[in-house]
Amino acid sequence: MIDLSVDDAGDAGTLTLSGGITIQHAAQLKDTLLEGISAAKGLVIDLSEVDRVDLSAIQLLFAAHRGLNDKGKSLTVAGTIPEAWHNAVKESGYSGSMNADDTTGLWTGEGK
Amino acid sequence: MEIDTSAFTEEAYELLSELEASLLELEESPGDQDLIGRVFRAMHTIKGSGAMFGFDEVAEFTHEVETVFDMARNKTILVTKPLIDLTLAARDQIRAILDAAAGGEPADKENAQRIIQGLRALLPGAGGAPAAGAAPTSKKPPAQASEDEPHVYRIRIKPSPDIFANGTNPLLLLSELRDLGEECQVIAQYDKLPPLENLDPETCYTSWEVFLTTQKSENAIRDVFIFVDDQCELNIRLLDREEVLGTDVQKIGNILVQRGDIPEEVLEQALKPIGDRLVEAGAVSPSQVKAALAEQNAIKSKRDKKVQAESAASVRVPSEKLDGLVDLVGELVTVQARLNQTASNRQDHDLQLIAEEVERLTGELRDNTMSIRMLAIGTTFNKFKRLVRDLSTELGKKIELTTEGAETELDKTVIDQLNDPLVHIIRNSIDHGIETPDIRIKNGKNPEGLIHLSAIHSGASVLIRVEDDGKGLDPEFLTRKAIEKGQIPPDSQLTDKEAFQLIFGAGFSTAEKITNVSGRGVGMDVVRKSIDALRGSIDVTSVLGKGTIITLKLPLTLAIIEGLLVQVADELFVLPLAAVEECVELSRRDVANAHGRHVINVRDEIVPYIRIRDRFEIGGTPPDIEQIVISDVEGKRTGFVVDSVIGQHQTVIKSLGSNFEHSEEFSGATILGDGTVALILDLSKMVRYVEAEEDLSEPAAA
Repeated sequence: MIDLSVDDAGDAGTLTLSGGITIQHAAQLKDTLLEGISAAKGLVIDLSEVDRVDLSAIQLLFAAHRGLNDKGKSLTVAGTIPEAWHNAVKESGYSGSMNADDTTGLWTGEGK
Repeated sequence: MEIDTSAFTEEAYELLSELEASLLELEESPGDQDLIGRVFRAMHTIKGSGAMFGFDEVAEFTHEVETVFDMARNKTILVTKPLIDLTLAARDQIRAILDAAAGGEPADKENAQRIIQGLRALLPGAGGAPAAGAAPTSKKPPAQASEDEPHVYRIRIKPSPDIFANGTNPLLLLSELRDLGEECQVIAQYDKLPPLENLDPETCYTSWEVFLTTQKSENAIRDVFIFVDDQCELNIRLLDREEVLGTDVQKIGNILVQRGDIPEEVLEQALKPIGDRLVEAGAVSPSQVKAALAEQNAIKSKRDKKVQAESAASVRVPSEKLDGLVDLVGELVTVQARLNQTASNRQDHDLQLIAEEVERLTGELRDNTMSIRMLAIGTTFNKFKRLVRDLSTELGKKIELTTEGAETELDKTVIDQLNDPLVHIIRNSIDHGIETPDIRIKNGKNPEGLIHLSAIHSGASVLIRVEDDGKGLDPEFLTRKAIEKGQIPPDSQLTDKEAFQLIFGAGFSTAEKITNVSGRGVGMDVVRKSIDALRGSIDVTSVLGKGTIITLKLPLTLAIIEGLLVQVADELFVLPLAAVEECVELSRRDVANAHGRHVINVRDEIVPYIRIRDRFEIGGTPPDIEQIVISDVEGKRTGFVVDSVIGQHQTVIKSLGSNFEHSEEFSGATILGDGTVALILDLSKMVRYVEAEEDLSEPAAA
């Protein structure tokens, strides 16, 4: 499930993802991410209900995160980051990929 | 540049015979995962090194077979007889391709196609090639106990961009890699990842650099990627210890450059040798740095040497080099004999001590050199498993081959030349010896026939025995056949032993009908010729209805034999000691009692003899009491009359020049301690010549 809501002021878009975010949803995820980034000043992402993550999702979110940083926009995380996400980051070797720019804890590859 | 492919072909031949052996074992215990693993690995290695050396045909073909066997390994398909049959056929095909590459006949491409189609038909959902995306999650990496110390591999994986489209999940591959070793560091390379706007969500932009610490071999790592071979660029490198222990700075630096985080020049600056930087900072003087560097180099080279020593545990050497060494050792043995003789003639105590020391060393050197040429006969035995399997199936017989003493060692030359005679003997056992199952049951035997192949050491010889529990040889029938064919006189009375020897006659066949396998009357005479050439002998025992035992007695080596040195007038001869049974005296009275016939009565047994003096027309008068060396020549006791027996002699065999190639009664020559030459007698050839001449002269006399 991919759901995006942008508040009326256009300050923050909330992207709620749930279930499996895999190659089947990759095209949709990309469009939604682009929409969210262009519509709002910052993006809030909620992964708490995600249980399956593959490399396509990692690539998309990484590109989105990097893009937001470059544009000076913010990315924040709502809710807890699920193990499925952490594992995928770790397995794909993306741990620590955002270096100091990662304030969200998305790219540590380690659960809390 | 011309690549030397001989190392590959040699290895491949070895792997093929291992493959064959494993397959045959697998047929007996189809569930054995270890064996399946062995088959798979052998195939995998052939494929891998084949591709490396440019044997693309081998690599492609093997790949197909390997894919199917991988299914068996994952228990997707069962190991069945058709699978084994096809894989054996595939093994032969690979061999044919290799032979073709070495200048042999071109391999039959259609046959390859047939094998591949047959194999594909075994796959689930018959006919289809395996889907590339069948991610082998349950696949167990093959256990490899060969390497004890863990290695660090650097694995670069670059999946093709459309790998997702094939249904492959690269993360599964990575986690499989992780399972291979104790420690695994996966670093994603995402510099190719474009900004989100330009990103194709279904393209894989990520590549990886993985540092894996594992005891497994590179092949085990490659195995992981077996289904995505064509979708992944794979680069595996074994890091040596120094690199592993080396500074982390470099690794991080490299990665930084690759990620595009820092330009290469910055890295170079940062990586300036620490000595230079310290000098720049004024902390140390250049000479101190120089000294430290020297120390470092010393440690490094020491470590290098150690590593080299470890890797030199086994060496592959062309056999010609070994032959050269054996020749030299032979010369040395000869010189040493001369030294001994000189030392004892001069009665110089010091010289004698040295000569003894040299003798001891030469002896050890000789034994060591000989042992290098020694090979276990097991590999030859293994080949016969296949032979028995194929032939018995063809003839509708059930035969089990058991072997014993596979570890028995023989000279490489002997082993090489032993193959064909053994094939003939075993073929004969299968075709003529072992009966069909229904006849066996009728005779109260186990329907499954047995061929037992064994090898044991016996003094300076090796006995190789081929034993079957078939119908045995009938001496009367053999005699009758030989008389029919006019090979022996009609009134011949032969002992059983002599009758059995008839099977080695040229053109002799007892088979009622000629089969594909044997019965053409060529074969056993070839066996005798080959064994003669090896200075060996053949013994046959057989019990009618119970079975036959054929025993080959072969010298351990062809380069040096134990000989018996004898003298006739001033001439010296060497008789192979292996054939010698006893020495008896021949007095004038014995000769007179025989009334002109060349026979002597030894313990109530009539033994014919040949006078070497007469045979080679050596002049002079024989002594009053001559010596007869009684030898076993093709199962018959035959005497050789000489003036005197000097004694046992370590005989280094020198081949005779081409001038003497028609002197077949001599198998070679040797050089004695005092430099004189003694000829080595080929006893069976001598007997044959004498017999032939007598046959010619007899009708004239009658």
